[in-house]
Amino acid sequence: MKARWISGVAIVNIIFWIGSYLAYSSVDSIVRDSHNRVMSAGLDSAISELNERYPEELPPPGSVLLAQIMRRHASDLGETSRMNVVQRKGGACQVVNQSFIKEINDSKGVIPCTKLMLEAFLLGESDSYHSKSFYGEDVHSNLRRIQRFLKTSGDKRSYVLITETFTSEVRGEVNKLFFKIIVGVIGVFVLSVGFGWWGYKKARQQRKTAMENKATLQNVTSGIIRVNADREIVSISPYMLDMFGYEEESEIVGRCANMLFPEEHLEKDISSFNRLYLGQGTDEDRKITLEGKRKDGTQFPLKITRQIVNFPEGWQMLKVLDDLTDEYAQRARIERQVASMKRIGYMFRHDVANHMTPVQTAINFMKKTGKYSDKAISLASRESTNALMLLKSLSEQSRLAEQDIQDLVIESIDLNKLISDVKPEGIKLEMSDMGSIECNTGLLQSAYRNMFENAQKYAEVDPVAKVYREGDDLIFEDNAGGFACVDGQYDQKEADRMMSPRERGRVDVPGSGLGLFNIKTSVETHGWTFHHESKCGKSTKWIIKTK
Amino acid sequence: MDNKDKVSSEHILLDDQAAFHEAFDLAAMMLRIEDYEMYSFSQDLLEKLPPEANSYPRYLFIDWNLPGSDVVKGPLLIKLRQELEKIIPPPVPFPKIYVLSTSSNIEELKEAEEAGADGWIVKTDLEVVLEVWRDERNLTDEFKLWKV
Repeated sequence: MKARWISGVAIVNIIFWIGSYLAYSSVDSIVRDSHNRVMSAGLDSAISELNERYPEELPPPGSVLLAQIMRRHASDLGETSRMNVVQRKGGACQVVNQSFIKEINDSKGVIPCTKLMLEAFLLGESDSYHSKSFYGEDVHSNLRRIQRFLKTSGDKRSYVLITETFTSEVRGEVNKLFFKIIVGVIGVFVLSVGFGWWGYKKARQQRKTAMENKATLQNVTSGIIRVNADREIVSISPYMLDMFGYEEESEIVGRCANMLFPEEHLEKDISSFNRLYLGQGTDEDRKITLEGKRKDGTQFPLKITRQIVNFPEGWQMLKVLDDLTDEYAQRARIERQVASMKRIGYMFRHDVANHMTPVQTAINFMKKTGKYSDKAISLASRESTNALMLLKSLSEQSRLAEQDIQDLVIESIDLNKLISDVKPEGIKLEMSDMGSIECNTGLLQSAYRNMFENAQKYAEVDPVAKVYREGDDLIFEDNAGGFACVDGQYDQKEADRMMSPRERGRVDVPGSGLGLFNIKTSVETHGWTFHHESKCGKSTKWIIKTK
Repeated sequence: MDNKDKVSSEHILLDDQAAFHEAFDLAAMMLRIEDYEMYSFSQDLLEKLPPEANSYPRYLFIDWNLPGSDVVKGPLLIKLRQELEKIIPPPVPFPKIYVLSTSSNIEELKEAEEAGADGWIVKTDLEVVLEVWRDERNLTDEFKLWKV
């Protein structure tokens, strides 16, 4: 860019100087023509006078003749004239203005007699010339001064007085020409400066834009890559390196773009790539979603927006790559939250009402019949308790739904203390050393609290909970007679039903129907999984797999 | 009542919520409805319907949220109708089917009607709404919503 700007200014300057030279030459030529024309007129006049006065001989001694010629030097503009009075021994006189003489000599055929006459003047004793110059306001005043000079000097020789001056005609022409030259020169100068300034500003703006683009490119969180028709990577943006886990541009640039995609996604990329290059691409080809492959071989979702662009190096494909990992995680998180909130909303609308309807019916029954009924009291009591437990669980669920593992405070906690803290009265705890774990304290407390409550609620003997650790697995083993047992046998369908919200193990046992669901949600929010091993009639082993 | 060999009652409740069975009991007592039976699962009901009998239940109250029907409630109702049609031969009158729900969502009502339900009973204030239903049940054959 800098070179272009310098070239532009240089070209303008060259144009300026050429223009100036041409303008000067043009004016010079016109002035010269004008000078010659006026000079000829002046000579004509002088020679006419000579011929008239001295038709056949040289001027008599002591005579003074006047001839006018024009000067063309701009520095002598004005009314000032210079007179060269040349004294010649032997009574003749001569002009010593060499340029004039040369012009007289050059004016072949203009006035032959004049030439002859002047040549005759010049043939005298040139080494004894006496010359004096007079300067004055006008020709005639100078002439008078010369005549006085000749008179007082007693010189009886004849002179030809040649004056050089400007006529108003030439002066006007010259003025106009010089005005044009000046205007032209100023115009060219202004243009030159303007163009130079414009070029400078443009170059500066382009430089600024280039710097901004570079800064943008360095900060943009999209990868930008150029690929030629051979799928060779021509250039990449800095973010591309981070995105694909590389450290140096040289690890990518110059290599085939296939290295950025796993084998199974190459076909998708290449086919749409080819269609775009052939001008047959659709919007689907311009925007595709596929997996990218990092340097370490791991894969991640990518959105690629592509366009064929005519770069100075030729037609190439410009790709903008966006890592969708965060977007997918965010979307999954929102979907989870929406599903949770919908489930909670549904349970508020239906399940709370389902609990309250029997309560209301039981109360109405006693009110209308006026009788105390154990059955109605029991029903109202149990269902109102269940409704309260459901509300409590729903509250916990809504809190869980609002959270996600990214938002949770994860800290290293002492599992022994956490479990001991949430253990309710009335259940025996047999715990081996659980060590510590990275988790959200509130969520894990909720999970263990629910496991303890279930163990206690469903136990038909004195409830006992054995808590221990097997590698990365956290085990909670109860003695509540097994889980999901139908006719003494473990039933997978029953287990699935029990794991879903709103399902309770036994209707005669108070509960929200959300206990197991809460445990599962708390565990899975950590990215862990929740499993069980049921021994019908005996116990259930609840397993939290942290890896 | 669930343990009877055959269904012999005029009113049948199909609802998986045990507490609602108890509430229905109390409501029936208040309304002096005595011929009713209650089931938790549709299969239990179908198994106890007598083949080629002369009389069958006249009114079926079916919980809209039957077990396993959280998503597809209408299709399950259609399936139940089809099973009942296999068992109950014409010209025996086909029982009227009333959906029970705590909701009165218009889209769900429409789905129930299209699935062949004869009416929709919102089960809050149970005995009150059942009393209204009892008084009005024979007044029209069109799909009707009963709520308090």
